[in-house]
Amino acid sequence: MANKAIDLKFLRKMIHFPSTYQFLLPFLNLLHSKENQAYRVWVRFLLSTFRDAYAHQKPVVWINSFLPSELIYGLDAIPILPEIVSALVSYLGWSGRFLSRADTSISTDLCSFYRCALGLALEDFLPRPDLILSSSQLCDGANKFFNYLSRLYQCPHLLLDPPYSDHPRSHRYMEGQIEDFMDEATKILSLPLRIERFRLVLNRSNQARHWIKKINQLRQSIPSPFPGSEGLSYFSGMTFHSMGSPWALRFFPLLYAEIERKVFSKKGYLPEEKHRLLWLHHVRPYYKNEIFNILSSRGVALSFEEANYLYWPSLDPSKPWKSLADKILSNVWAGPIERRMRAIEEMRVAYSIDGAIHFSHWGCRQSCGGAAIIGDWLKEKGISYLILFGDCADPNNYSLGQTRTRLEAFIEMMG
Amino acid sequence: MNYYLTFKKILDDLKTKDPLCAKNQWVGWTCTYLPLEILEAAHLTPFRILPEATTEKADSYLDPNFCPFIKAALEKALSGGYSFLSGIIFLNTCDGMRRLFDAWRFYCKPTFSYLLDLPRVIDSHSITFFKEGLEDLIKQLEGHFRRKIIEDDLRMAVERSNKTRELLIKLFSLQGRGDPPFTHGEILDILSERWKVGRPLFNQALELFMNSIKLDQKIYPVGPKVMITGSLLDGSDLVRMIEELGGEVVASDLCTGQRILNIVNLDSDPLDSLSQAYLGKPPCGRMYDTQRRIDFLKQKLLECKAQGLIYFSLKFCDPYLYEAPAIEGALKEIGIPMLFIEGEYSGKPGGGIRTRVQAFLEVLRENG
Amino acid sequence: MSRRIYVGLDIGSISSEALLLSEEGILSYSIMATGPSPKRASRECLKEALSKGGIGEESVSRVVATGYGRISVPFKAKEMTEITCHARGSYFLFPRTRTVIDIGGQDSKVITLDDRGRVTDFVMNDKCAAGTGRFLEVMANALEVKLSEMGKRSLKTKKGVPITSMCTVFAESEVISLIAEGHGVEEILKGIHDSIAHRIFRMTRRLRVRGEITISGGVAKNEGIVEALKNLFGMEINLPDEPQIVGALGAALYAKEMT
Repeated sequence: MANKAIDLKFLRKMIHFPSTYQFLLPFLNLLHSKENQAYRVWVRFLLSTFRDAYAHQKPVVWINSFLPSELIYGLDAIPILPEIVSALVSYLGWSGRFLSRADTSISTDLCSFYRCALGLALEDFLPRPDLILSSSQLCDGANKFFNYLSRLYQCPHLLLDPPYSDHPRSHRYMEGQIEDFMDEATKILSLPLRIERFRLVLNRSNQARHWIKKINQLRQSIPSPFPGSEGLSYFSGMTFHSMGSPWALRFFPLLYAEIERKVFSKKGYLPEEKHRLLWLHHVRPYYKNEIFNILSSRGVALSFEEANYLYWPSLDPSKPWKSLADKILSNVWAGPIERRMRAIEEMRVAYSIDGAIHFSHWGCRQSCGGAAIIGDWLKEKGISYLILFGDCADPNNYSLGQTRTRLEAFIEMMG
Repeated sequence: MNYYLTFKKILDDLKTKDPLCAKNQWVGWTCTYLPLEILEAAHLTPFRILPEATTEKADSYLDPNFCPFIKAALEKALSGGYSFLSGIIFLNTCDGMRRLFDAWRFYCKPTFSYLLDLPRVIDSHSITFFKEGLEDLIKQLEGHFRRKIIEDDLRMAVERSNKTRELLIKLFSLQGRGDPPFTHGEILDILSERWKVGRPLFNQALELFMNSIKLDQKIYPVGPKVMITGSLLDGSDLVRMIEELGGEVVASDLCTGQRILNIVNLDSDPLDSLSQAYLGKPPCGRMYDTQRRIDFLKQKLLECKAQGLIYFSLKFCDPYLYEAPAIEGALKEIGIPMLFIEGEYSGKPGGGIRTRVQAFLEVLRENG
Repeated sequence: MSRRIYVGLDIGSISSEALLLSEEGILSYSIMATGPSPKRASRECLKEALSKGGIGEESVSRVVATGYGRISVPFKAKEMTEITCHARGSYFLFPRTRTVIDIGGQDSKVITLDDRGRVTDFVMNDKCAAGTGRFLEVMANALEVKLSEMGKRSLKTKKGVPITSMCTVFAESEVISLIAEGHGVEEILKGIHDSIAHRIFRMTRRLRVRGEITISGGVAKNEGIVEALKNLFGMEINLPDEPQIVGALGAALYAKEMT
């Protein structure tokens, strides 16, 4: 036990020490092949973001997924998404100790991304925030959770509360909230409000959006050029975290070029592709698991994932608040389930999907609550459908045997 | 004397005498942030979706990690228990309610359904936004039920609902009096009849009841005073269990309890008044502001001299589960202990809960 | 030329079965406890089935393994999930089967088939043991009734005591308090069976149940559960002579069909 304590202390110190990242960079670059330049950009993006955040080069603002990061880049602050940190920690196999740290204070039935983030916060492993901004969209827990964190860090917490309905009055209300947020945030962070900076950031975001759109079009090719498991890791990670930053403009075009090469040489990511699956829900298990190997080894491709569906319209840089309000409210997972179904239908056709897996992340009510309706509807269309129960960040909720039987029976059923 | 049965008898007698009772056009509702006055002004009778506890849960329509109340509601709807409703109105209270709205529409196919947007913050913008939502609801109701909702009817409905609130406030003030003492559990049972009948009938029955019982002014001390908070409870079983174990429940911050006693102050614009009064009522955990809830609970605890707080969260209820540690911490600062219970939506609380409540009361007794 | 023998091995969490199939039909089978080593269980199970049928190991042409221990079977030609195998076995025994209820030791499944016996959909209970063989075992223990007698005894009464908890742990304490409250063992048993049947029934609701229903898996030997299911579905349910070997039969059929 004593050993572990020292270990943790040392780790904490290292993580708050900016030079750590300088030192890590060349090593992490070695991890991936030369071809995978986009992946390396992602690693560099994370390292430099966290280096700057720990060093507090600029104000640090914590946000949650689905909050446009353009809001934060526009203010010239650093956005940090504790959810993404949890996914990374889980990917590295370290989530266990942070989860159990959190279990002393909140229920284990809650979302493991937040449980893990709470553990990280209690152990002081995260770059300390100057401001926390959360959105209640798609997650009831988010604003309660971030409010609790703001109490722990004794920093201000602001909330955006996107309405359910996609009505002109909702857009007006949302735009007003963003305006109010800007007022408050500039005061709290003592930053000037520079409209021309927002114009720049929105322009960058539009360019990145253009490349995402092109990537998504490429991914319609048969065989599937890019694995969905990666679509759900660094690809969606960049979409959540880098929109509006210059990093997005390096990352997405590189990824596009990589996928284009694959498509050009008619090479799929699997040697043989028997089925094309759509992955439903925004996340996947990030700890070591067999799900993607089981699928790949049986010729089942994860052709596309709901998470990367491009839902928002191009932004108007001359009207930043209105554009960002529109972006938030165009979220297809908010509002009545028909919106989500329309998007899935579009993906089904575009990506020649013949099966879908709905990954029901234990702590997520938003997505799981719709799994049955979507299943009944997809089955009517002749799409094989599997609800896979599990957890994305807590390996304790993963049973290899159960998962294997469900997946294999599903694949046998598809024939 | 059984106060609840006395009340029930009065209510049932009135029901059989009321010729209009059978002609009610019922519309279901799910969340106490819905201004029922709007339905009543449209001459519709609101019926609260508050299903009996059941072991049959809508497992195959909602995942296992889902709010047990929502499951029970869907279960009852699926088995035709709400087929008498002419429509149903949801709010975007929480993920559970939003998904119930979806499942209800897909599997039960109601002739009229509507989801009213409910902001999580309270400021001038959100009050306007909520009011605009109410206007839209009125438009939809008028269109579907082919009737006009006129301002006079709306004002009358507000006055009647304020009457209910006044009566209920008076009813709660009778707690502890009489021999045997009138308990909080019994009051909650009387209140539970409210959801199933029209307002005029309930008001009348409650008035008759309060005139009929003679309670002396003296209040007998019972045991440790506790307050209970949470989203909702299925009936009064938990409260009655606390009372049976010698505790005195002095307040219930529940949407099946005292959270619905907000008086609506009528201004020039009744919808403005409704929007303000409903958003500003004692906060449910689904609202954003944890500090407001803490302040409210602290004040209420002091007001009713409670020695401890019992915090009941339904399983998988994110807002209440996430907020519990912040509230526990804040109450510790003023020396009020909190017992956290995470439970099912099922009448009888299990043996484990009983033991914990009993131990909590023992601690309060020793410290008090 | 010697006969070609096809073997189905179903290595479950609690019990293992081996079944030998020739062109003529089922030759022999064996059932035994899986124990700690699925690998050893598969060897011994096969050995016993071979000796029962008086067949030498050399005549075995192919083995298909199924069940949760399928991965550990060393001498298999192929592995398939128990879902597909139970469907295949049930379809072979009762060709009009369109729904299979398989209640195993640690999980239960409901499977729907098309008119050619192919799986069209399935549901599987979540990670808890409620409504499975393990659940029954715990209850038998709490009530001090032999597992094999639970079904018969429960049929002696018309009215069961409702069991509200589905979680094995909570249901166990509930059963104990029901005994303390003076309820008869038969009534409690019936309550347990009804609650398991209800759980299965609920699982089927999202699937389209049509045509005949066949029940398989060890728990099908409990008459009380079968009866409760019949009542709930309002129809007869096909019950194989030996419901425990349906999975192994399905696996053997696949071994035979492999080219």
